[in-house]
Amino acid sequence: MNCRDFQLQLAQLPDDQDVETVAHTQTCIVCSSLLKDRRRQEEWLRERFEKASIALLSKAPVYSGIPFSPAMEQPPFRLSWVIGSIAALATVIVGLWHWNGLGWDTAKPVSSESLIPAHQSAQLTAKNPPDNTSPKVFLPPPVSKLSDTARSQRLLTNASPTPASSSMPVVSSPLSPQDPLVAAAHVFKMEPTGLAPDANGYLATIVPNDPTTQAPAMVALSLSGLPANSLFHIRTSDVNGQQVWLASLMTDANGLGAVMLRTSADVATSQKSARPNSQRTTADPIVDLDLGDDDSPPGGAIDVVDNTGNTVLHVSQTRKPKHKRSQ
Amino acid sequence: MEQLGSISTGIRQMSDDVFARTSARDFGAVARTHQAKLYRTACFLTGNRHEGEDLLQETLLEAWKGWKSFEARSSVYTWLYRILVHRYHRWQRRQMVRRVFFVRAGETDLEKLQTFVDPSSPPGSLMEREEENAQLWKFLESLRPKHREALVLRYVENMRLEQIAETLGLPLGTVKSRLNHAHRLLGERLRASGVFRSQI
Repeated sequence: MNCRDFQLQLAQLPDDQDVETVAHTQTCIVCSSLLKDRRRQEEWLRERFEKASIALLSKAPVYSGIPFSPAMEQPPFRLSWVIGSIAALATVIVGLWHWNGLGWDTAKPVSSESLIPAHQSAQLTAKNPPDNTSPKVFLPPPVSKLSDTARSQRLLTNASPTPASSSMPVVSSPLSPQDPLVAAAHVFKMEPTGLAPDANGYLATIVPNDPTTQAPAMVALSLSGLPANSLFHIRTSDVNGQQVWLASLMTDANGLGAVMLRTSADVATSQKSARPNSQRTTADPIVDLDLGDDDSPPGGAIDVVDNTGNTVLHVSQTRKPKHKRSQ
Repeated sequence: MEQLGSISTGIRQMSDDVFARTSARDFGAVARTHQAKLYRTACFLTGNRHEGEDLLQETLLEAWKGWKSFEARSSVYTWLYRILVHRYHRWQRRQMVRRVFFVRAGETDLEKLQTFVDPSSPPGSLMEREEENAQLWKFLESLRPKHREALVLRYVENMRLEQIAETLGLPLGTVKSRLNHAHRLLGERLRASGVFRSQI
């Protein structure tokens, strides 16, 4: 064996040294030195790994309490969880909508009726008798424009159910039990781009009826028809037009995904009082999730972006919302 | 007598997995047996306790799901480590994708998001906590994942080269090459830091 053969063999890190190798290292100083160097490295590694292992094993998590029992052998079907989540979300949204007097029922919200004096209420009933025979079914149409945050806040502030003709005093905070919980709620259908023509996305915005503006507004996204087990990101723009990443979500094996976003009370407070950029002191980008009035500059659209940075779904700014309701 | 001897040898040579399966009966026992070592390896691979725990959980979950279909063609030990390495590769891809993706975003976004996407910064980073072994953690962090996993299996799990090749699903020559590369880097690093004097 010559030095070249030895070094080649050394490079291959054999588990056992053969006789020839041992014999060569006894005669060649350079190869002997190389072998020693390698052995010292191995020794160093084993020693360090062992020390680190002791520290790690002392704090190793114990899962002995987890029963890998036959009862657990049927893992929950993911799709059913996703469908259940979406159904629950839809129920909440529709329920809130209904509670707010915006859906299915043409009857006035309880809070509105309660604030109208009895005689006025009777007059109203006489003029407009309830049409029980043909109940108007209201389904929130999928609209493709976000509401303005500022407008949402105005809705919020105007949400106090006080008819103009009413002589009753204005009900102010704290909320009475009869006040609607939601000042405004919208559902938007997101539009797929050419990259994901089969994708579907719905976006729901819920602005709670809270005169203190402490309750955060919520935005929920439900996506389907996207590539399975893929990471997607929710993007919008702040007031300066800078891109802001709001959240990430991973689709399941069926290409379904959902995410819930909520604004902070800080944002709500500052946006209610004035332009947010003049109020905020933190370094966080100021996010205006909504598209603003028709004459305002475009911005605040929400995009769903894949890992390569391509938009697969977005909320269109070209159409006016078909439905916006407030108290 | 010879026949008895060969039978005895055959029984001894029986795969430890078959033994483990027949004796343990349930996956819980197997998980309890291997979980500490799997956790240790996961921590060495990810360099982070929290990530190591996550990786261990994912590994055990995947192993549990595949337990019924496990045919004991390899040892339970090798099978579990193969799953761990597989999950590690997935974790590595996720990390890489996140890093690449968020680098595209603006600086502000990056700073905001780095707190949960950068594996070097989150709490539980082993390099920060274990000062004594900081050199080892630093070296591991400097290695590419493919070299790191070979080194960890070799010196933490004391696997033979053939076992590493089986676990990683690689040819033996590739494993040797990766280990040699890791050793070359380690030699350079240790000589540069003065731990080893130059031998040649």
